[in-house]
Amino acid sequence: MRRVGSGTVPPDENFDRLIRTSLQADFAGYAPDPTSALGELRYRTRGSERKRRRILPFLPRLSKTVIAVACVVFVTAAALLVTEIPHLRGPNATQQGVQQAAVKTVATPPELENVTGQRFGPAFQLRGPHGQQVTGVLSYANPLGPNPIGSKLKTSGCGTDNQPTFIHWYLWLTLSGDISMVNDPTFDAVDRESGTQFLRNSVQTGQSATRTQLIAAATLAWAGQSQSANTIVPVDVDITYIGHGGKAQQVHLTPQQGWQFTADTRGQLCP
Amino acid sequence: VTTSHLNSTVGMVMSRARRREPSSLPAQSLEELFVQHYTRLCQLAVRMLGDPMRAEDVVMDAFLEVHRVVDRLDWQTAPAYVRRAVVNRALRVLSRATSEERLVDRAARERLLPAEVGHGVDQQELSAERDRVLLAIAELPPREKVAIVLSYYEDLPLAQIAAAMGCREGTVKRYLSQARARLTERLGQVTS
Repeated sequence: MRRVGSGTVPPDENFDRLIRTSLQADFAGYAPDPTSALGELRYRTRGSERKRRRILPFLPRLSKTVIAVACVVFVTAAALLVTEIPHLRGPNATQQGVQQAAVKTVATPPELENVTGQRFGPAFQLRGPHGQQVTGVLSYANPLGPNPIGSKLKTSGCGTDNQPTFIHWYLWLTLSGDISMVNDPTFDAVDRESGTQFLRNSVQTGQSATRTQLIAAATLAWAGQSQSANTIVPVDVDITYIGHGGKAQQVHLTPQQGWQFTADTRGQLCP
Repeated sequence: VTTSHLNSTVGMVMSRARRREPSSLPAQSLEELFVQHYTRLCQLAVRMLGDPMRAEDVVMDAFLEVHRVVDRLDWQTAPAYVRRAVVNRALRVLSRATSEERLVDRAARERLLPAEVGHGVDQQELSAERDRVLLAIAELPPREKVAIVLSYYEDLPLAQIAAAMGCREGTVKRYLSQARARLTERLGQVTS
């Protein structure tokens, strides 16, 4: 016999037997009939079975949350595609609609060091309502070398000799396909801090901005493939470049005869 | 499988269940599984919960949970799976029971004690002793109570209790040891 507290308890074997018999005696007559419960089970599982067969016969193991998230992602992606890519809208796109065809360009400038006189920079592409393409390459010549301050000008032909504090930027445009300009292209270069506005239909050699941040916004207009339609579809191109090391920047834009730029004229763009 | 065949199969299983004969073949459908094990699981759950209505709800919910995964259910281990679902739900119900509900349960059990006492003196003493044991078991913490019921009522080995409760065998041993100590202490005090 084992003493616990102030009372006496039976040995383990008897104790275990007591617990076992007590548990078996508890609710001894309780034996629910599965018949009625089976009806309830059938009733409660019937709806979900039908739903599963009808809606998702091929995805029985995916949870509803996963499917809902996938649907939301798919719809969002489709909406973005339709709104961002103009030619997905079809050939009868309205002028207003195509105006939204903003072209993304770089947000940060390329490195300026060691690229003296080289064609360099990010390419961007515009797409017209009939599949026309306008490709542009932002290029620059850094006449000052890796270390502009106090360096001598290493390149020439850019019209910026003796202006060692300037870094020159060039916007080279190459039109391809059957695109022809029907009105004067308008280029705007705005130094927002000074309010100075450069350009329009002229060569802006030697122009310079004295701010480290120069924002050039070019608006290009062209007609569609069918001249008779005479549809002018402006496309806004926003190009933002941040200056390098506080040096001045300059925009050079050189429209050619007939307002057609080709790769062959690239060299002439350099003032 | 035709409806008539299914009904005959379910009927056979139900008659076997009424005779409380163990089924030699594992169930091949949820309804078969239900008919084979519903009564037994209700009897297990009622000893954990102390309330037939709650016990039947818990068992039904467990089978509905099984229905959600019935496509990938292994029918050989399905009974153990359902039992684990019942134990989990019973534990949840026990853990959520407020102290007020526990007091009400205890009072109900205590009120029932005189009514269940037998006629003879020995029978009366035996019944009173069992009731004291059941009352002590009812007052155990939920996990200890479930371990005691699975061990003493279901006669499950430690490994299966651990599987049903989702813990390790060592943990089950600890639950059983603590439960025995509590029961011993309470029943000892009562005996004294």
